[in-house]
Amino acid sequence: MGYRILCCPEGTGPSREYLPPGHVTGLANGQRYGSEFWGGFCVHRDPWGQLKWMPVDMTGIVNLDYMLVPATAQVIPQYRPPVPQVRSSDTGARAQTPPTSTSMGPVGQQVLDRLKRNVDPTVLSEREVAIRKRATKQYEKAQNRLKNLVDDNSTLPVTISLVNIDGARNTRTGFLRKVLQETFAKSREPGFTLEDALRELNRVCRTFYKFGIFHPPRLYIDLAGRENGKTKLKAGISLKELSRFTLQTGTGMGNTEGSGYLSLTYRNMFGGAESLNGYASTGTRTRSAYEVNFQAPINANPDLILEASGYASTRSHQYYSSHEEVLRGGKVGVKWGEHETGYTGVWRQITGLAEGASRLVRDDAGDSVKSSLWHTFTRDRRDSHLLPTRGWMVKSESEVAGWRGLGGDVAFWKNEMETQVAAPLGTSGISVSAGLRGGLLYPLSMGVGDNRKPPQPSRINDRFQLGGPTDVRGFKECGLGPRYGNDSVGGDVYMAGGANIYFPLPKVGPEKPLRLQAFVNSGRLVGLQGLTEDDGNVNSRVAGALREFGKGVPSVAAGIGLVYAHPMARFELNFCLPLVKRSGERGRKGLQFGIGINFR
Amino acid sequence: MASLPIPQFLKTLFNSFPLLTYPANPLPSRCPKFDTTPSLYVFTTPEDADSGNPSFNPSCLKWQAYLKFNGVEFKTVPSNNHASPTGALPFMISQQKPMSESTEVAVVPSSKLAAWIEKHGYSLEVVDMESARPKAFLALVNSQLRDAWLYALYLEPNNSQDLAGELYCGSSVSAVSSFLLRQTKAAARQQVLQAHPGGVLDPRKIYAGAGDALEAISAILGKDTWFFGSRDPGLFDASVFAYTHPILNLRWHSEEDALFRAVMGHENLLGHERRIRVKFFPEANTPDPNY
Repeated sequence: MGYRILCCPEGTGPSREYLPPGHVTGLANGQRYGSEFWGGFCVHRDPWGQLKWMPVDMTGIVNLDYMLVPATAQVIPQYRPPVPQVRSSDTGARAQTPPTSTSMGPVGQQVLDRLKRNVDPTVLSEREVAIRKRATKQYEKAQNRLKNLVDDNSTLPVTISLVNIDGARNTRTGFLRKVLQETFAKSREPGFTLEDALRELNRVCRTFYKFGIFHPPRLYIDLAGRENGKTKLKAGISLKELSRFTLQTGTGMGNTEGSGYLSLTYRNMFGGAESLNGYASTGTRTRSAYEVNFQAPINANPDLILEASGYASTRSHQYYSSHEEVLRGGKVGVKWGEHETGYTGVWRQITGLAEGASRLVRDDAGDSVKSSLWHTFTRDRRDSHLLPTRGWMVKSESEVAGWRGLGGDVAFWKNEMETQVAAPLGTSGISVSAGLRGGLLYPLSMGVGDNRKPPQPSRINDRFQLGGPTDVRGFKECGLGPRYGNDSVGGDVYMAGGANIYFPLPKVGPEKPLRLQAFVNSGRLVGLQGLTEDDGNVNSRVAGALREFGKGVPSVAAGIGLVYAHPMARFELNFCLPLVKRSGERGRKGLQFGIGINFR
Repeated sequence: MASLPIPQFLKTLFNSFPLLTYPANPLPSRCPKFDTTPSLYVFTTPEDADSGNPSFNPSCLKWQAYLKFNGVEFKTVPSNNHASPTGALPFMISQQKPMSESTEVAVVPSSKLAAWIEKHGYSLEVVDMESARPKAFLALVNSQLRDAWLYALYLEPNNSQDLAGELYCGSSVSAVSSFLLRQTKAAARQQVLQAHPGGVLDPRKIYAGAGDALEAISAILGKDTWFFGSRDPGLFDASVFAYTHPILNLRWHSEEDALFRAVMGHENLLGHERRIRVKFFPEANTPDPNY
């Protein structure tokens, strides 16, 4: 008795909530086993407009991790890219990309033939419903039967004797072997059961998929006799490599800016899932940006990535502080899970000053080099980062620049923390979210020995900015904090927080990413006072700045508005009023429009 | 943008917001303190800026000296070309009221400095620079002498490394310094090539031109205290001092000091430089003729 298992690793399809049945635009690679249609992979357009794969049965969509099929089943060996079709009528009939006729059994042929015939749509619909019902029943029955078989045998002692990988033409054998190493080791342990084997092999498939160089892998399992009282399993993993070169152009959206980009990716460079990516873009704020980026998994582990990149960009800060900043730099880092850490060396140039630039900006104009070590940690348990309705998120970013042997022209320790929680109010579709964040720039002494310099006051390109439609609503972009003439000069310490309540729109319902919101948010951004070039007493300056937070109420604004979370970016149109502010801070009364990917 | 008529009650409502306004946020530490003394942004070191010493850049020193001749009270601020509204130093910032009262700041580029000085009533008896004679001599300074200066400082291999690199392209990171120096050298070459078309620069020719210019300038000064027999130093004196002072003060490489030797050959120009230095820049370095 043998099983075959079709594996559908996590992440190869979108989560269920994005997939009402109407999204199904085609069936492809339908598998036929004996006379039963087992389902296959469906292709659909997700809200991003991208084609996604997911396992389906005849009932519509089921989020399966794997599907069991009898060993006798005939499986189409090739993965065939689907041709999605648009629904031809509103009858509820789904347009289908038929499975290849060579793999057709009698039932499938019938289904197709019936679909092919030009019949009255309503009749077609009825027939299809009937067919689907029948197929569903058969499918469920068979699936249950197999599930029971596996369940009954889940404790069966097994060992994996062979894993046959095909389709990995450009991938190094050593690399593939490393991925499988752990599974083989585990399979030799006593007490390794069929259930363990399924889990392990499924994990291997997930791992392959995570490298980003393969299409969703498929897994087949067969029995290969018995040995030492254990059942031997023979597994086959069918991989198909993504094309090695991808050229992409498109438009992107960042906070308060739009851009067009061109990117070229060279995948699986040395056969170990290394990738080289070149990227060029031009936008409304980031006038130009170029980046070359190399990524490689360390020790064939897709969760441990080494990254190195070089970049150059010109970014306009004219809107709030009359200058442009040119960056040229490089970065080396390691990503593992929720952590990322590394080194950045960047040459910054403050240039292109506006005619009305204030003295402060003129004094900071010119070159400086930042050499820093950094670390970020993000734990995101929200259901959506654009419009969260439940869950929480914490994020921390730390950077040490110019300290001791690091070199460069600036020396500081910079830390930012951010948290957000969201929760639904009952089943009403109403939800609330609240966030709090803060940051501190702590000047450090620079250099070592005789070259040691006391902590220096911060520069405009290192200080924090606060305020704006995606940040503290009801204030103009970077409109909070100290100002000199027409320029927001930024601050060294900030705190900001806000609370939103989201209401689903009547008649639209909570399923759509459209909400009415009411919010109140506040923030304070202050600079370290009185730190001179040769005065080392930073602690008392920081304490002074923190005391400043205690002086009166922070700057506050409140408002109501409409939120639309398009998968690409979040759009907001709010009516807001600043309630409390500091003289000079630029509030925004009335309508404020915000686009961004990172709303606070 | 077309404005819609706003109902009165809305206007009243809007005007009552924000409900509470606190005094402005104090500025971070690096922000310049308000000061009515005008600031001249020049190429200089922070130490020299504090003591008001001459800038090492001729264009800057010319105006620095001229402002001093005119008795204008000002301070120098170390800066770079990125800070300037024209893309080149020097420029002047004069602010008569604190930022909290008025955001109006006068930024005066070097081309408008003469007019600014005149407007602020510092004008004293000067030779009309527009007349033919001073104009011709000024052209000598601004072409022959300038080209030789650019060549000696940026294009002589040792000088460019040790002097231009140090003065203009200082960065804590050597890769950035050398990149900046390469850019600066290319710009200087471009400048000098404008007067010497053909793509080949002959140092002997360039230094000879500068020698001739110095010869002529020395002759026109003769035994006078200031140029053109004037009672007080003027813009032409400043223009000459702007080259002679740095030429005499820079520590040129021994193989690449043709310009230094050319100035040393004119006793009256040395005296001219000394007179200005002693009178207007008492703390400046004294050139070392034995160096």
